[in-house]
Amino acid sequence: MTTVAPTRARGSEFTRSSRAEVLKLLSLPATLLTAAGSLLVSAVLAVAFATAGRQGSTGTASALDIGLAPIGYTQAGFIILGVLAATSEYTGGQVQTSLTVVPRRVLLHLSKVVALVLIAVPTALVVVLGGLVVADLVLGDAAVVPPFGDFAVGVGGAAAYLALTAVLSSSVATVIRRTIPAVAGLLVYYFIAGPLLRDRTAFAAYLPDTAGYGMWFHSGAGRFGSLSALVGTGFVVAWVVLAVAVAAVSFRARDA
Amino acid sequence: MSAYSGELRKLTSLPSVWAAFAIGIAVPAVVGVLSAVSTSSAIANGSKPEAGPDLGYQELAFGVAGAIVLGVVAASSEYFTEGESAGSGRQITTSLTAVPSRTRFLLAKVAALTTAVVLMSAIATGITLSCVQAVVGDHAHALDGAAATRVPGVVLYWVLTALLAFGITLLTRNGVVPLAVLVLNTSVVTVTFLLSKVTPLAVYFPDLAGMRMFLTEVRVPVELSPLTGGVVMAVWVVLLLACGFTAFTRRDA
Repeated sequence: MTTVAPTRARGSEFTRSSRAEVLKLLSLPATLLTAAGSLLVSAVLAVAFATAGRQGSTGTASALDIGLAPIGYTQAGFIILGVLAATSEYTGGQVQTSLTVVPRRVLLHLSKVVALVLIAVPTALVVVLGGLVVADLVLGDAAVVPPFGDFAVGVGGAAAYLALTAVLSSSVATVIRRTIPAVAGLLVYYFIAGPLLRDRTAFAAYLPDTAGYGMWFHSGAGRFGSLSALVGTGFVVAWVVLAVAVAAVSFRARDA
Repeated sequence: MSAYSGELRKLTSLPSVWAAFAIGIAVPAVVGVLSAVSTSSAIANGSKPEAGPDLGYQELAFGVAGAIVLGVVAASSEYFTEGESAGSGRQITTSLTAVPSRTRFLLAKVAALTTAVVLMSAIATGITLSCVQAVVGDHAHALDGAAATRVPGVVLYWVLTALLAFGITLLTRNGVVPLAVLVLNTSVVTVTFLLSKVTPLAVYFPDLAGMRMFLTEVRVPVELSPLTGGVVMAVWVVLLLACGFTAFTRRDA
Protein backbone atom coordinates (compact mmCIF):
# COMPACT_ATOMS: atom_id res chain seq x y z
CA MET A 1 0.00 0.00 0.00
CA THR A 2 1.35 3.38 -0.95
CA THR A 3 0.54 6.64 0.72
CA VAL A 4 0.01 9.61 -1.53
CA ALA A 5 1.98 12.58 -0.34
CA PRO A 6 -0.01 15.80 -0.37
CA THR A 7 1.25 17.71 -3.37
CA ARG A 8 0.45 21.30 -2.41
CA ALA A 9 0.68 21.51 1.33
CA ARG A 10 2.68 24.72 1.58
CA GLY A 11 1.35 26.94 4.31
CA SER A 12 -1.71 26.49 6.48
CA GLU A 13 -5.21 26.09 5.08
CA PHE A 14 -5.87 29.74 5.84
CA THR A 15 -2.78 31.00 3.99
CA ARG A 16 -3.60 28.90 0.97
CA SER A 17 -7.24 29.95 0.80
CA SER A 18 -6.26 33.61 1.26
CA ARG A 19 -3.79 33.27 -1.60
CA ALA A 20 -6.53 31.74 -3.75
CA GLU A 21 -8.89 34.59 -2.90
CA VAL A 22 -6.25 37.15 -3.91
CA LEU A 23 -5.85 35.39 -7.27
CA LYS A 24 -9.63 35.33 -7.73
CA LEU A 25 -9.95 39.03 -7.01
CA LEU A 26 -7.10 39.91 -9.35
CA SER A 27 -8.66 37.84 -12.12
CA LEU A 28 -11.87 39.92 -12.06
CA PRO A 29 -11.73 42.58 -14.79
CA ALA A 30 -13.95 44.71 -12.55
CA THR A 31 -11.20 44.93 -9.91
CA LEU A 32 -8.72 46.52 -12.29
CA LEU A 33 -11.36 48.75 -13.89
CA THR A 34 -12.55 49.99 -10.50
CA ALA A 35 -8.99 50.72 -9.38
CA ALA A 36 -8.17 52.55 -12.61
CA GLY A 37 -11.44 54.48 -12.45
CA SER A 38 -10.75 55.57 -8.86
CA LEU A 39 -7.28 56.80 -9.80
CA LEU A 40 -8.67 58.73 -12.77
CA VAL A 41 -11.46 60.34 -10.72
CA SER A 42 -8.96 61.18 -8.00
CA ALA A 43 -6.67 62.94 -10.50
CA VAL A 44 -9.49 64.87 -12.20
CA LEU A 45 -10.93 66.03 -8.88
CA ALA A 46 -7.46 66.97 -7.62
CA VAL A 47 -7.22 69.31 -10.63
CA ALA A 48 -10.61 70.81 -9.76
CA PHE A 49 -9.81 71.23 -6.05
CA ALA A 50 -6.33 72.63 -6.77
CA THR A 51 -7.73 75.11 -9.31
CA ALA A 52 -10.26 76.22 -6.71
CA GLY A 53 -7.39 76.38 -4.18
CA ARG A 54 -5.35 78.65 -6.45
CA GLN A 55 -8.30 81.01 -6.64
CA GLY A 56 -8.40 80.91 -2.84
CA SER A 57 -11.97 79.60 -2.60
CA THR A 58 -11.08 76.56 -0.47
CA GLY A 59 -9.70 78.61 2.40
CA THR A 60 -6.49 76.55 2.46
CA ALA A 61 -3.41 76.31 0.26
CA SER A 62 -2.11 73.17 1.97
CA ALA A 63 -1.15 70.74 -0.76
CA LEU A 64 -1.98 67.91 1.66
CA ASP A 65 -5.56 69.04 2.39
CA ILE A 66 -6.27 69.78 -1.26
CA GLY A 67 -4.66 66.57 -2.51
CA LEU A 68 -6.67 64.49 -0.02
CA ALA A 69 -9.97 66.27 -0.71
CA PRO A 70 -10.91 63.93 -3.62
CA ILE A 71 -11.02 61.00 -1.13
CA GLY A 72 -14.55 62.10 -0.28
CA TYR A 73 -15.57 61.02 -3.80
CA THR A 74 -13.05 58.29 -4.63
CA GLN A 75 -14.27 56.26 -1.67
CA ALA A 76 -17.06 55.28 -4.09
CA GLY A 77 -14.49 53.20 -5.98
CA PHE A 78 -13.58 51.32 -2.81
CA ILE A 79 -17.24 50.77 -1.95
CA ILE A 80 -17.71 49.23 -5.41
CA LEU A 81 -14.50 47.19 -5.05
CA GLY A 82 -15.74 45.73 -1.76
CA VAL A 83 -19.21 44.99 -3.10
CA LEU A 84 -17.93 43.31 -6.28
CA ALA A 85 -15.48 41.20 -4.28
CA ALA A 86 -18.42 39.76 -2.37
CA THR A 87 -21.19 39.61 -4.98
CA SER A 88 -19.04 38.17 -7.79
CA GLU A 89 -19.37 34.85 -5.94
CA TYR A 90 -23.12 34.93 -6.43
CA THR A 91 -23.34 35.62 -10.17
CA GLY A 92 -23.14 32.29 -11.93
CA GLY A 93 -22.95 30.20 -8.77
CA GLN A 94 -19.19 30.46 -8.16
CA VAL A 95 -19.85 30.27 -4.43
CA GLN A 96 -20.78 26.59 -4.75
CA THR A 97 -17.36 25.81 -6.22
CA SER A 98 -15.63 27.93 -3.58
CA LEU A 99 -17.38 26.08 -0.78
CA THR A 100 -16.58 22.71 -2.31
CA VAL A 101 -12.90 23.61 -2.23
CA VAL A 102 -12.91 25.38 1.14
CA PRO A 103 -15.81 23.90 3.10
CA ARG A 104 -15.10 25.83 6.31
CA ARG A 105 -17.29 28.85 5.81
CA VAL A 106 -15.87 31.17 8.45
CA LEU A 107 -12.36 30.41 7.24
CA LEU A 108 -13.39 31.14 3.65
CA HIS A 109 -15.04 34.38 4.70
CA LEU A 110 -11.97 35.55 6.66
CA SER A 111 -9.72 34.62 3.72
CA LYS A 112 -11.85 36.90 1.57
CA VAL A 113 -11.42 39.75 4.04
CA VAL A 114 -7.64 39.24 4.08
CA ALA A 115 -7.49 39.12 0.26
CA LEU A 116 -9.57 42.28 -0.04
CA VAL A 117 -7.30 44.11 2.42
CA LEU A 118 -4.20 42.93 0.54
CA ILE A 119 -5.61 44.40 -2.69
CA ALA A 120 -7.34 47.48 -1.29
CA VAL A 121 -4.35 48.85 0.66
CA PRO A 122 -1.90 49.16 -2.28
CA THR A 123 -4.72 50.44 -4.52
CA ALA A 124 -5.63 53.04 -1.91
CA LEU A 125 -2.00 54.15 -1.57
CA VAL A 126 -1.73 54.63 -5.35
CA VAL A 127 -5.03 56.54 -5.52
CA VAL A 128 -4.14 58.77 -2.54
CA LEU A 129 -0.63 59.52 -3.78
CA GLY A 130 -1.98 60.12 -7.31
CA GLY A 131 -4.33 62.81 -6.02
CA LEU A 132 -1.53 64.42 -3.99
CA VAL A 133 0.93 64.50 -6.91
CA VAL A 134 -1.65 66.02 -9.28
CA ALA A 135 -2.70 68.62 -6.70
CA ASP A 136 0.94 69.54 -6.10
CA LEU A 137 1.60 69.91 -9.85
CA VAL A 138 -1.47 72.13 -10.39
CA LEU A 139 -0.77 74.25 -7.31
CA GLY A 140 2.85 74.74 -8.40
CA ASP A 141 4.50 77.54 -6.45
CA ALA A 142 1.31 78.19 -4.50
CA ALA A 143 1.58 74.81 -2.75
CA VAL A 144 2.25 74.84 0.98
CA VAL A 145 4.25 71.65 1.49
CA PRO A 146 3.50 69.99 4.82
CA PRO A 147 6.17 68.49 7.12
CA PHE A 148 6.92 64.84 6.35
CA GLY A 149 5.26 63.60 9.54
CA ASP A 150 1.91 65.21 8.63
CA PHE A 151 2.25 63.87 5.11
CA ALA A 152 2.83 60.29 6.30
CA VAL A 153 -0.08 60.45 8.76
CA GLY A 154 -2.36 61.95 6.09
CA VAL A 155 -1.52 59.37 3.43
CA GLY A 156 -1.62 56.46 5.89
CA GLY A 157 -4.92 57.57 7.41
CA ALA A 158 -6.57 58.10 4.02
CA ALA A 159 -5.38 54.72 2.69
CA ALA A 160 -6.51 52.95 5.87
CA TYR A 161 -9.92 54.64 5.69
CA LEU A 162 -10.39 53.57 2.07
CA ALA A 163 -9.36 49.97 2.77
CA LEU A 164 -11.64 49.78 5.84
CA THR A 165 -14.52 51.19 3.77
CA ALA A 166 -13.94 48.47 1.17
CA VAL A 167 -14.09 45.76 3.88
CA LEU A 168 -17.25 47.27 5.41
CA SER A 169 -18.88 47.37 1.96
CA SER A 170 -17.95 43.77 1.21
CA SER A 171 -19.51 42.69 4.51
CA VAL A 172 -22.75 44.48 3.68
CA ALA A 173 -22.70 42.95 0.20
CA THR A 174 -22.09 39.47 1.65
CA VAL A 175 -25.40 39.80 3.47
CA ILE A 176 -27.29 41.39 0.54
CA ARG A 177 -25.65 39.15 -2.13
CA ARG A 178 -26.84 41.28 -5.07
CA THR A 179 -24.65 43.89 -6.70
CA ILE A 180 -27.06 46.67 -7.61
CA PRO A 181 -29.02 46.83 -4.33
CA ALA A 182 -25.76 46.70 -2.33
CA VAL A 183 -24.05 49.40 -4.41
CA ALA A 184 -27.18 51.58 -4.39
CA GLY A 185 -27.68 51.27 -0.64
CA LEU A 186 -24.05 51.95 0.26
CA LEU A 187 -23.64 54.87 -2.15
CA VAL A 188 -26.87 56.50 -0.97
CA TYR A 189 -25.69 56.09 2.62
CA TYR A 190 -22.13 57.35 2.08
CA PHE A 191 -22.97 60.20 -0.29
CA ILE A 192 -26.45 61.36 0.62
CA ALA A 193 -27.79 60.15 3.96
CA GLY A 194 -24.42 60.27 5.78
CA PRO A 195 -23.42 63.84 4.87
CA LEU A 196 -26.95 65.14 5.48
CA LEU A 197 -27.11 63.51 8.93
CA ARG A 198 -23.60 64.82 9.70
CA ASP A 199 -24.80 68.42 9.49
CA ARG A 200 -27.99 67.87 11.41
CA THR A 201 -27.57 65.31 14.20
CA ALA A 202 -25.11 64.66 17.02
CA PHE A 203 -25.14 60.83 16.85
CA ALA A 204 -23.84 60.97 13.26
CA ALA A 205 -20.34 61.52 14.71
CA TYR A 206 -20.27 57.81 15.61
CA LEU A 207 -21.35 56.53 12.18
CA PRO A 208 -18.66 54.91 10.02
CA ASP A 209 -18.41 57.69 7.43
CA THR A 210 -18.34 60.70 9.76
CA ALA A 211 -16.16 58.98 12.36
CA GLY A 212 -13.70 58.22 9.57
CA TYR A 213 -13.56 61.84 8.42
CA GLY A 214 -10.75 62.71 10.81
CA MET A 215 -8.65 59.88 9.35
CA TRP A 216 -8.13 61.76 6.10
CA PHE A 217 -9.39 65.31 6.47
CA HIS A 218 -7.25 66.72 9.23
CA SER A 219 -8.27 70.34 9.24
CA GLY A 220 -11.88 69.15 9.31
CA ALA A 221 -11.49 66.88 12.35
CA GLY A 222 -13.14 69.37 14.69
CA ARG A 223 -15.68 70.59 12.20
CA PHE A 224 -17.18 67.23 11.26
CA GLY A 225 -18.28 65.54 14.43
CA SER A 226 -16.92 65.79 17.93
CA LEU A 227 -14.47 62.87 17.80
CA SER A 228 -10.69 63.19 17.56
CA ALA A 229 -8.94 61.44 14.67
CA LEU A 230 -7.79 58.59 16.92
CA VAL A 231 -11.19 57.95 18.54
CA GLY A 232 -12.82 58.24 15.11
CA THR A 233 -10.45 55.60 13.74
CA GLY A 234 -11.39 53.38 16.67
CA PHE A 235 -15.08 53.73 15.81
CA VAL A 236 -14.49 52.91 12.13
CA VAL A 237 -12.48 49.82 13.10
CA ALA A 238 -15.24 48.80 15.52
CA TRP A 239 -17.89 49.14 12.77
CA VAL A 240 -15.75 47.07 10.40
CA VAL A 241 -15.19 44.31 12.99
CA LEU A 242 -18.91 44.24 13.74
CA ALA A 243 -19.79 44.11 10.03
CA VAL A 244 -17.29 41.31 9.32
CA ALA A 245 -18.67 39.34 12.27
CA VAL A 246 -22.30 39.77 11.20
CA ALA A 247 -21.41 38.82 7.62
CA ALA A 248 -19.46 35.75 8.80
CA VAL A 249 -22.36 34.57 10.95
CA SER A 250 -24.84 35.12 8.12
CA PHE A 251 -22.55 33.41 5.60
CA ARG A 252 -22.18 30.43 7.94
CA ALA A 253 -25.86 30.10 8.76
CA ARG A 254 -27.54 30.66 5.38
CA ASP A 255 -27.76 28.41 2.36
CA ALA A 256 -25.17 29.46 -0.20
CA MET B 1 -50.88 49.14 -23.93
CA SER B 2 -50.23 45.53 -22.98
CA ALA B 3 -46.48 46.17 -23.31
CA TYR B 4 -46.89 49.15 -20.97
CA SER B 5 -48.75 47.17 -18.33
CA GLY B 6 -46.20 44.39 -18.69
CA GLU B 7 -43.37 46.82 -18.02
CA LEU B 8 -45.21 48.24 -15.02
CA ARG B 9 -45.59 44.73 -13.62
CA LYS B 10 -41.90 44.02 -14.17
CA LEU B 11 -41.00 47.18 -12.28
CA THR B 12 -43.25 46.41 -9.32
CA SER B 13 -41.82 42.88 -9.08
CA LEU B 14 -38.22 44.09 -8.62
CA PRO B 15 -37.01 44.34 -5.01
CA SER B 16 -34.65 47.14 -6.09
CA VAL B 17 -37.63 49.22 -7.16
CA TRP B 18 -39.16 48.97 -3.70
CA ALA B 19 -35.79 49.91 -2.23
CA ALA B 20 -35.73 52.90 -4.60
CA PHE B 21 -39.18 53.98 -3.38
CA ALA B 22 -38.02 53.63 0.22
CA ILE B 23 -34.94 55.79 -0.49
CA GLY B 24 -36.84 58.38 -2.52
CA ILE B 25 -39.56 58.83 0.08
CA ALA B 26 -37.68 58.34 3.35
CA VAL B 27 -34.49 60.36 2.67
CA PRO B 28 -36.12 63.74 1.91
CA ALA B 29 -38.81 63.31 4.57
CA VAL B 30 -36.44 62.37 7.41
CA VAL B 31 -33.79 64.93 6.49
CA GLY B 32 -36.49 67.55 5.87
CA VAL B 33 -37.87 67.04 9.38
CA LEU B 34 -34.34 67.26 10.88
CA SER B 35 -33.69 70.52 8.99
CA ALA B 36 -37.09 71.90 9.94
CA VAL B 37 -36.50 71.11 13.64
CA SER B 38 -33.14 72.92 13.65
CA THR B 39 -34.62 75.83 11.66
CA SER B 40 -37.57 76.24 14.00
CA SER B 41 -35.29 76.21 17.06
CA ALA B 42 -33.14 78.85 15.33
CA ILE B 43 -36.27 80.94 14.76
CA ALA B 44 -37.36 80.42 18.37
CA ASN B 45 -34.06 81.67 19.83
CA GLY B 46 -33.99 84.55 17.39
CA SER B 47 -30.86 83.64 15.42
CA LYS B 48 -32.89 83.36 12.20
CA PRO B 49 -35.83 85.59 11.23
CA GLU B 50 -37.69 82.99 9.16
CA ALA B 51 -37.29 79.70 7.33
CA GLY B 52 -35.33 79.88 4.05
CA PRO B 53 -37.33 79.61 0.85
CA ASP B 54 -35.63 76.32 -0.08
CA LEU B 55 -36.39 74.47 3.16
CA GLY B 56 -37.94 71.14 2.16
CA TYR B 57 -37.13 71.61 -1.55
CA GLN B 58 -33.39 71.35 -0.85
CA GLU B 59 -33.99 67.92 0.72
CA LEU B 60 -36.11 66.87 -2.26
CA ALA B 61 -33.09 67.55 -4.47
CA PHE B 62 -31.28 64.75 -2.58
CA GLY B 63 -34.24 62.37 -2.64
CA VAL B 64 -33.79 62.18 -6.40
CA ALA B 65 -31.37 59.31 -5.61
CA GLY B 66 -34.50 57.13 -5.48
CA ALA B 67 -35.34 58.16 -9.06
CA ILE B 68 -31.76 57.41 -10.13
CA VAL B 69 -31.92 53.88 -8.74
CA LEU B 70 -35.28 53.36 -10.45
CA GLY B 71 -33.98 54.56 -13.83
CA VAL B 72 -30.84 52.44 -13.62
CA VAL B 73 -32.63 49.30 -12.50
CA ALA B 74 -35.31 49.63 -15.20
CA ALA B 75 -32.58 49.09 -17.78
CA SER B 76 -29.94 47.02 -15.98
CA SER B 77 -32.35 44.38 -14.65
CA GLU B 78 -32.96 43.28 -18.26
CA TYR B 79 -29.26 42.50 -18.68
CA PHE B 80 -28.62 40.84 -15.33
CA THR B 81 -27.27 37.32 -15.91
CA GLU B 82 -29.25 34.74 -13.99
CA GLY B 83 -27.40 31.98 -12.15
CA GLU B 84 -26.36 28.73 -13.80
CA SER B 85 -29.32 27.03 -12.16
CA ALA B 86 -31.60 29.36 -14.17
CA GLY B 87 -29.84 28.66 -17.46
CA SER B 88 -27.54 31.71 -17.31
CA GLY B 89 -30.16 33.64 -19.28
CA ARG B 90 -30.91 37.32 -19.42
CA GLN B 91 -34.41 38.74 -19.18
CA ILE B 92 -33.90 40.89 -22.29
CA THR B 93 -34.11 37.86 -24.60
CA THR B 94 -37.52 36.94 -23.17
CA SER B 95 -38.69 40.56 -23.26
CA LEU B 96 -37.81 40.94 -26.93
CA THR B 97 -39.50 37.63 -27.75
CA ALA B 98 -42.66 38.96 -26.18
CA VAL B 99 -42.38 42.48 -27.68
CA PRO B 100 -40.30 42.13 -30.87
CA SER B 101 -40.54 45.80 -31.89
CA ARG B 102 -37.65 47.41 -30.07
CA THR B 103 -39.09 50.91 -30.39
CA ARG B 104 -42.40 49.79 -28.93
CA PHE B 105 -40.53 47.98 -26.15
CA LEU B 106 -38.50 51.07 -25.22
CA LEU B 107 -41.50 53.41 -25.39
CA ALA B 108 -43.41 51.07 -23.09
CA LYS B 109 -40.44 51.02 -20.70
CA VAL B 110 -40.10 54.80 -20.70
CA ALA B 111 -43.83 55.18 -20.08
CA ALA B 112 -43.76 52.68 -17.19
CA LEU B 113 -40.67 54.30 -15.68
CA THR B 114 -42.23 57.76 -15.95
CA THR B 115 -45.41 56.54 -14.27
CA ALA B 116 -43.45 55.05 -11.37
CA VAL B 117 -41.28 58.14 -10.88
CA VAL B 118 -44.24 60.55 -11.05
CA LEU B 119 -45.92 58.49 -8.36
CA MET B 120 -42.77 58.33 -6.20
CA SER B 121 -41.94 62.02 -6.50
CA ALA B 122 -45.52 63.09 -5.85
CA ILE B 123 -45.63 61.02 -2.65
CA ALA B 124 -42.16 62.23 -1.57
CA THR B 125 -42.98 65.89 -2.25
CA GLY B 126 -46.30 65.67 -0.44
CA ILE B 127 -44.86 63.98 2.64
CA THR B 128 -41.71 66.13 2.84
CA LEU B 129 -43.40 69.49 2.36
CA SER B 130 -46.25 68.73 4.75
CA CYS B 131 -43.81 67.47 7.41
CA VAL B 132 -41.72 70.64 7.04
CA GLN B 133 -44.89 72.75 7.17
CA ALA B 134 -46.04 70.95 10.31
CA VAL B 135 -42.72 71.47 12.12
CA VAL B 136 -41.96 75.06 11.12
CA GLY B 137 -45.59 76.17 11.24
CA ASP B 138 -46.34 79.78 10.31
CA HIS B 139 -42.76 80.56 9.32
CA ALA B 140 -42.73 78.07 6.45
CA HIS B 141 -42.41 79.08 2.84
CA ALA B 142 -43.02 75.52 1.79
CA LEU B 143 -46.60 75.78 0.58
CA ASP B 144 -46.85 79.44 -0.43
CA GLY B 145 -48.04 80.64 -3.85
CA ALA B 146 -44.81 79.72 -5.67
CA ALA B 147 -45.38 76.08 -4.73
CA ALA B 148 -47.81 75.86 -7.65
CA THR B 149 -44.83 75.94 -10.04
CA ARG B 150 -42.13 74.54 -7.75
CA VAL B 151 -43.88 71.25 -6.91
CA PRO B 152 -44.32 70.29 -10.59
CA GLY B 153 -40.69 71.37 -10.95
CA VAL B 154 -39.63 68.73 -8.41
CA VAL B 155 -41.67 66.04 -10.17
CA LEU B 156 -40.25 66.99 -13.57
CA TYR B 157 -36.69 67.05 -12.16
CA TRP B 158 -37.09 63.53 -10.74
CA VAL B 159 -38.64 62.21 -13.97
CA LEU B 160 -35.90 63.74 -16.14
CA THR B 161 -33.17 62.42 -13.82
CA ALA B 162 -34.66 58.90 -13.95
CA LEU B 163 -34.79 59.07 -17.76
CA LEU B 164 -31.19 60.30 -17.83
CA ALA B 165 -30.13 57.33 -15.68
CA PHE B 166 -32.17 55.02 -17.94
CA GLY B 167 -30.54 56.40 -21.10
CA ILE B 168 -27.01 56.03 -19.71
CA THR B 169 -27.71 52.48 -18.52
CA LEU B 170 -29.01 51.51 -21.97
CA LEU B 171 -25.52 52.39 -23.22
CA THR B 172 -23.52 50.71 -20.44
CA ARG B 173 -25.92 47.75 -19.90
CA ASN B 174 -24.47 47.48 -16.40
CA GLY B 175 -25.93 49.37 -13.50
CA VAL B 176 -22.83 49.97 -11.38
CA VAL B 177 -21.18 52.76 -13.39
CA PRO B 178 -24.26 54.97 -13.96
CA LEU B 179 -25.32 54.41 -10.38
CA ALA B 180 -21.91 55.49 -9.06
CA VAL B 181 -21.63 58.54 -11.32
CA LEU B 182 -25.16 59.80 -10.71
CA VAL B 183 -25.40 59.11 -6.96
CA LEU B 184 -21.98 60.72 -6.41
CA ASN B 185 -23.28 63.71 -8.25
CA THR B 186 -26.28 63.96 -5.93
CA SER B 187 -24.12 64.27 -2.81
CA VAL B 188 -24.10 67.40 -0.66
CA VAL B 189 -21.31 69.03 -2.68
CA THR B 190 -21.86 67.67 -6.17
CA VAL B 191 -19.06 67.11 -8.67
CA THR B 192 -20.78 69.46 -11.14
CA PHE B 193 -20.93 72.12 -8.42
CA LEU B 194 -17.15 71.74 -7.92
CA LEU B 195 -16.65 72.05 -11.66
CA SER B 196 -18.66 75.28 -11.62
CA LYS B 197 -15.74 76.67 -9.58
CA VAL B 198 -13.45 75.82 -12.49
CA THR B 199 -15.64 76.87 -15.40
CA PRO B 200 -18.96 78.77 -15.50
CA LEU B 201 -20.07 76.42 -18.29
CA ALA B 202 -20.70 73.80 -15.59
CA VAL B 203 -24.06 75.44 -14.81
CA TYR B 204 -25.33 73.82 -18.00
CA PHE B 205 -24.86 70.31 -16.59
CA PRO B 206 -28.27 68.64 -16.40
CA ASP B 207 -28.45 68.51 -12.59
CA LEU B 208 -27.38 72.10 -11.89
CA ALA B 209 -29.64 73.43 -14.64
CA GLY B 210 -32.61 71.26 -13.67
CA MET B 211 -32.48 72.19 -9.98
CA ARG B 212 -33.39 75.71 -11.03
CA MET B 213 -36.92 74.49 -11.55
CA PHE B 214 -37.53 74.37 -7.81
CA LEU B 215 -34.53 75.82 -5.93
CA THR B 216 -34.01 79.56 -5.57
CA GLU B 217 -30.66 79.58 -3.79
CA VAL B 218 -27.97 77.80 -5.81
CA ARG B 219 -24.58 79.49 -5.53
CA VAL B 220 -23.28 79.15 -9.08
CA PRO B 221 -21.66 81.74 -11.36
CA VAL B 222 -24.50 81.99 -13.91
CA GLU B 223 -28.15 82.34 -12.90
CA LEU B 224 -30.62 80.46 -15.09
CA SER B 225 -34.37 81.00 -14.95
CA PRO B 226 -36.50 77.97 -13.95
CA LEU B 227 -37.73 77.64 -17.53
CA THR B 228 -34.25 77.82 -19.09
CA GLY B 229 -32.95 75.34 -16.51
CA GLY B 230 -35.73 72.89 -17.29
CA VAL B 231 -35.17 73.22 -21.04
CA VAL B 232 -31.39 72.70 -20.69
CA MET B 233 -31.96 69.56 -18.64
CA ALA B 234 -34.61 68.28 -21.06
CA VAL B 235 -32.20 68.73 -23.99
CA TRP B 236 -29.58 66.61 -22.18
CA VAL B 237 -32.17 63.92 -21.48
CA VAL B 238 -33.43 63.87 -25.08
CA LEU B 239 -29.86 63.60 -26.40
CA LEU B 240 -28.88 60.79 -24.03
CA LEU B 241 -32.13 58.91 -24.59
CA ALA B 242 -31.58 59.23 -28.35
CA CYS B 243 -28.10 57.71 -27.96
CA GLY B 244 -29.52 54.96 -25.75
CA PHE B 245 -32.36 54.27 -28.21
CA THR B 246 -30.01 54.13 -31.18
CA ALA B 247 -27.63 51.78 -29.39
CA PHE B 248 -30.50 49.61 -28.24
CA THR B 249 -32.14 49.29 -31.66
CA ARG B 250 -28.86 48.69 -33.52
CA ARG B 251 -26.94 46.40 -31.17
CA ASP B 252 -27.48 42.71 -30.61
CA ALA B 253 -29.48 42.30 -27.43
